[in-house]
Amino acid sequence: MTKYPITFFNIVTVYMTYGVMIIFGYLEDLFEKVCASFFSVLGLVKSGKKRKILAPLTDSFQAFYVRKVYGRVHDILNRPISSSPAAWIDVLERKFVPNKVNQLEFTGKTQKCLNMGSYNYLGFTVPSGFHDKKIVETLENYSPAMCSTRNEVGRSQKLIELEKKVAEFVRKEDAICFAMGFATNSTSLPLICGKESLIISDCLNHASLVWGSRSSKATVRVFQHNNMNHLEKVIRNAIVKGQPRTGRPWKKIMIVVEGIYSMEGEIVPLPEIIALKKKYKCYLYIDEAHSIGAIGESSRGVVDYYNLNPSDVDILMGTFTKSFGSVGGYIAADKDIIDTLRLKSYSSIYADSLSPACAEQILVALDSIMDKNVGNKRVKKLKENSNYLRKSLINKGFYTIGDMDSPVIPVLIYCPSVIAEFSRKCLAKGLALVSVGFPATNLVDTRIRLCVSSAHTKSDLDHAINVMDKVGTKLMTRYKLKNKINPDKIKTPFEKFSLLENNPKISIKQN
Amino acid sequence: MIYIVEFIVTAFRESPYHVITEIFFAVLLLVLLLQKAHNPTKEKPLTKKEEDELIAEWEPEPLSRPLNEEEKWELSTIPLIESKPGIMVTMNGKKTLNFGSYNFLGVVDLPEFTEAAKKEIYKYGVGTCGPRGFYGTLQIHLDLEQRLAKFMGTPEAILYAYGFATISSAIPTLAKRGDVIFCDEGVSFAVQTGVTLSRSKVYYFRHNDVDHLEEFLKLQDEIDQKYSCRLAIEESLSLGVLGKTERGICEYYNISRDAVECTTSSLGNAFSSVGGFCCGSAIVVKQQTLLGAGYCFSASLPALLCGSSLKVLDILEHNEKIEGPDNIFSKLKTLSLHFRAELAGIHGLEVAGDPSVPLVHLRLNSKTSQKNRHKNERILQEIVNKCFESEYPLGLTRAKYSEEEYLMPPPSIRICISASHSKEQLTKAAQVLKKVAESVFRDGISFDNELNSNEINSNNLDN
Repeated sequence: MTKYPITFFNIVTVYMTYGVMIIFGYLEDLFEKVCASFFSVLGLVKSGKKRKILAPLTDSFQAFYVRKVYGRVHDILNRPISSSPAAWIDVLERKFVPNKVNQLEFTGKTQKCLNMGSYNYLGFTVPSGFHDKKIVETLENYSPAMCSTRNEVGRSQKLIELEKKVAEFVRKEDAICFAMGFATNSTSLPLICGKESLIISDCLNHASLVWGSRSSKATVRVFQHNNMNHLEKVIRNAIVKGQPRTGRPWKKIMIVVEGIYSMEGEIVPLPEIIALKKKYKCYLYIDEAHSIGAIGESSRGVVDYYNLNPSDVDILMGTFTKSFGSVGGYIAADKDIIDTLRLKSYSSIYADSLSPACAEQILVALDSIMDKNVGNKRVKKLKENSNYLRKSLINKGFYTIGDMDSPVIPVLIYCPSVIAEFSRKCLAKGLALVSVGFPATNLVDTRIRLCVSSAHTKSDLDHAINVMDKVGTKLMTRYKLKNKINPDKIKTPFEKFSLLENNPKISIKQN
Repeated sequence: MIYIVEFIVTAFRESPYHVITEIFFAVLLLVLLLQKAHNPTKEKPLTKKEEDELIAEWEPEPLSRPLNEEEKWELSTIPLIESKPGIMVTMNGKKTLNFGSYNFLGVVDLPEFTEAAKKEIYKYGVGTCGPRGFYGTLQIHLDLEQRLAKFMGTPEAILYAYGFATISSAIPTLAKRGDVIFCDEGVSFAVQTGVTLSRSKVYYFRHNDVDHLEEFLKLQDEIDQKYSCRLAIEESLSLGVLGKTERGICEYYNISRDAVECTTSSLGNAFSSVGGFCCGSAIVVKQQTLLGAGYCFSASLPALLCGSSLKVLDILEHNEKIEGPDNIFSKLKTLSLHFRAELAGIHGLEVAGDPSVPLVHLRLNSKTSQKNRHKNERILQEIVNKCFESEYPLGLTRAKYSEEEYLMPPPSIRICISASHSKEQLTKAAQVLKKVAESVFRDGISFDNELNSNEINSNNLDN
């Protein structure tokens, strides 16, 4: 994993926090055990004896961690809402039940908060009542779902329309759409990379890609996050050594990367990857879950962002959950591949086909994006918003990570107890944030994540900055206050690429 | 040190030859120990030039190959649906009587079913814009989970956004490397995926063969004295179909739901929606909220689909109070028995499955079945096509399977009976099926110029 610089003070406090939580947790458990055995000696608790018991589901440390560490802060996770996940949301208030361990109850109240957590990049998820009439029409003409799989009797007219449109949008020959983004990856990768193939995957790839690679019969190798030298090393090594044990040459080598890494906010250095891919005759699979719609001149994702040719990427995958405000995922590639997926993908054979109403929502969004006059308005606004928020946060001394232009802005907080308090205080002041910690990140890299939307106005963003500034000052999380960098001097990935353009290593400027 | 030297000197005086020999051997031993082993098999690492040559020589296979004729045909048989998948469905531009959709309860045609979904669009919009952890948990998800748990009679339930991902995520949270899974070899493909992904040791027992399972369990008993087994059931097709109040297989056999640790089901079949859920004890569900890949890493279920599922729960709960022929379960049972009775004596085909189940598989019998699976599929498709073309058009489909199935079921035409079908419709459909089957088996099919004659659907191949 990527290592972010951390001061000695932070390391000490983070490990101390974990240490205190774990030691006190064990003490509590010990006390409980002693009491229990004391009472059982007195005969107050009857212990029934069975010959056989069920095996425990978790190992003891995991169970302990969940009870004593996760349980203490789980009120900042999985917050339910009672409105559409638009720019402002109503968060249901919860509080810990007194005298019960780690139990939450609803107070019945809701709180209006600025939504900085949902992946509503282009603002197509609208406040209640503002949906497009076409969606309701489609719902009435079809039904909520097709009650069948795609290959049996679930191939609806809307699905075909959508697939055509998606192929046109991402500028590929053909596309196939599924009803779940996660399953798009996890059921398609096994078909694309079969036996005797090699999948070279970025170490921070999303769980769906990991599952897809795991359930395929291909071999999987991992390269360090966004590290092109390491990637080249892995590829060279793989081709030279061939398959393990037999030493036979690989049938195909597939590089799997993401467009924007959702926990890091980093944009993939695509030009360099394409150069490598061409040099070593590998194939390239990009998961554009977060980048499709969110970046690029005409919001066509990371290929568009770097102004590259879509034909240089063999398989473009993306989801409709994020920018398009619906559900599902697509894969766009050459017709042969897509036809194979249509016929053989587990999702086409065994899983429910995409709901027509959800397909209509995507179509509405795509129509709006592809419109020549107003199409790139949203993505422009998104870029403006993201860079404004990122620069302001850097100016305030927050330690943000990730690239300029990316709508995902993680802020490092380090300490798990501080992040809980940070999130609670922000919520109380009307700002809904996402906090991510171990095991989703490194032990010390606990972070707050902000997802910017084009639906946010400037005053919304100012509200977010204000709240974070106040809370951050109080909790002393503005780590970069003293050695601030000038945010205007940070280069965007695109600018970095333009600098590299004359580099002989990347001689791929499109003709 | 001095003592040693003194000792050697005295020893040398006593017998010099002895000491010289000993010193010689000591030096020899040192030399031998310090010498590098000569290893003729060790190779020199490749030079960069050699590596480059190897890399230049390597040629990958193309990413995909064009479909062959069989696959093209298979793809061309997938129909295009242009209307609600209700009792009447517009398939390839023609209104047909629908036997393909898993609309067992017949809710698709009910206006209140669509209305319930519409209400949720007004309130929540379409997508949830994030996984459950990141503000993707809507109030309606919590409501639906609670209602499902109550309906199933378990402490808790958990919602997934996809039926296929439900069981394939649930199993890996319950079984890990080092655990043992005993699995019926006829389980659906989603279960097989889950079992593979769990990395546990898997034993497949013969389909529905309890004795075979017992053999395995006895063997396991000898190995492991301490732990007993958990039971997980996939109820995608039985829920909403079996049992007096349609609560699935446990109710059908009159067993308490507590006997099953983990029940999963798709919401795509009887519930006529998209998604899935798993219900069980608090710990089984909690485990999935923390580790279930399809739960943690995927966007949550759109509110409109939750809304329609809630409506179906309403319908099912209302149905409990209805006695007599209007009860959906008794209706489904009568219709299934009726349809199978009408199908009796059909030419060349056998009607598979339990008589009271509304899911009918029509398979080729031992006389008409051929060795080549593809040819069998073609014969069945011919029946499907002829039924579609007949005066009383039927919307049928063959059952589709992946080549990766553990135990490939024989090819079949899958017929789903819905509670909204009328007896007359089923009688007529059975007559059409019988007539078509007879004519197909009488005339036979030629496989030579089939591409022109057999394909009525080829023109809609993803137009």
